[in-house]
Amino acid sequence: MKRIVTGAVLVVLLVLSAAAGTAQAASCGNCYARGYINTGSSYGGGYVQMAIRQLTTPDWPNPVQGHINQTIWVTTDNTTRFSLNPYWAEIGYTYGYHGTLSSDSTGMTYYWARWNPVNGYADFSLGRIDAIGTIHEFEVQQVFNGEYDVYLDSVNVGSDVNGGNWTLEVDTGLEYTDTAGTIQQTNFDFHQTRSTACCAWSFWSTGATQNDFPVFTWVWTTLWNHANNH
Amino acid sequence: MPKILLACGAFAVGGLLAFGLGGGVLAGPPLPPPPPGPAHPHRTPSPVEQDHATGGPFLSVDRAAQAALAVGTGVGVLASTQLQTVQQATAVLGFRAANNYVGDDREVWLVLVDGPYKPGFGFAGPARQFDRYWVVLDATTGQILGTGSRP
Repeated sequence: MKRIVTGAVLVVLLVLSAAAGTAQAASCGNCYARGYINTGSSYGGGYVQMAIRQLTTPDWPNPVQGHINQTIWVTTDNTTRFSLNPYWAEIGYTYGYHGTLSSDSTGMTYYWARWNPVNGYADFSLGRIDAIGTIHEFEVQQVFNGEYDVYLDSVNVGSDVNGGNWTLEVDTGLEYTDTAGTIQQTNFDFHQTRSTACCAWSFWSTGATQNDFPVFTWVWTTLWNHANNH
Repeated sequence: MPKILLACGAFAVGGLLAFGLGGGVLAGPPLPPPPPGPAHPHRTPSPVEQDHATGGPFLSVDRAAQAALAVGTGVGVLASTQLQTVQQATAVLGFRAANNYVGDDREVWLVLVDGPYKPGFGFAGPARQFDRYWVVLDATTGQILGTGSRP
């Protein structure tokens, strides 16, 4: 850990926005600011620790049903986001859930979601969120052929069945539907991927970023273990 | 014998101190999880942690239908509205109808709708739009537990 923290800065990628802080509300469908790993190797799953921060977006009410969420995604058919129709599973926390806010004062809730062609699309609210500033564990891993279990703080909260075998891409970051959404700086710590042979986990050692729009800025420092999303 | 008693007394005092310290820790801000190791421990929610059957009162069928129709992205038509347990709804859907903190015996509304539906969350690929969908609502609280669309 100390080695990682004090290690040389391997990747510093700044995606700066001239419009930062002056963003006008504009729908952008499902947009992303995320770090991804896509090395061509297959994995058994992905893991990350994320701090809970206040998220907001103006477009959450019906009929738009917008949202903004922090998430870990994994593909579940050994493909990448560049595939025509990748299967995937994700777990994170969201502000806005099908036109509603949670009863928590933050309006946020944990959730998980999946897509595969057999069971289709689904998302599930956990109906709860922890305090702002607390750090939590988010994880997806394949446990049987085509079954991916999702975990919050090591607790299995759901199962995505009828996926394919293995994960070729693991992403962590932000999904949002309006460029006027807001987020406080969020730390993504201790990213790990799992070997396909169950169940050894290891830290990510490299990666890159994707920003659909320059509203949200990513700063990557000290490997992948400590990433900040501004 | 006195040594044994002394040891027991020290153990008891130590335990009280530890309990006190533990209480102090619990009263403070929660500690972050430790850095993960090469193996990850997992568990499922215990029955005590789960929400279970309440026996009512329940959200009315009209309110359940209204909430489900609001999930759609256009005008929808109710295909069915059923008050079931999570276990029964799971059998209908073919996969678990709620997250694992909701027990199999919890009462839910399973509402099936013919109408436009847009997935809330995505990863990549083309934006999808479906022409039918399902919604599971907690029959006691009215909270949406899950939504989706089967191919």
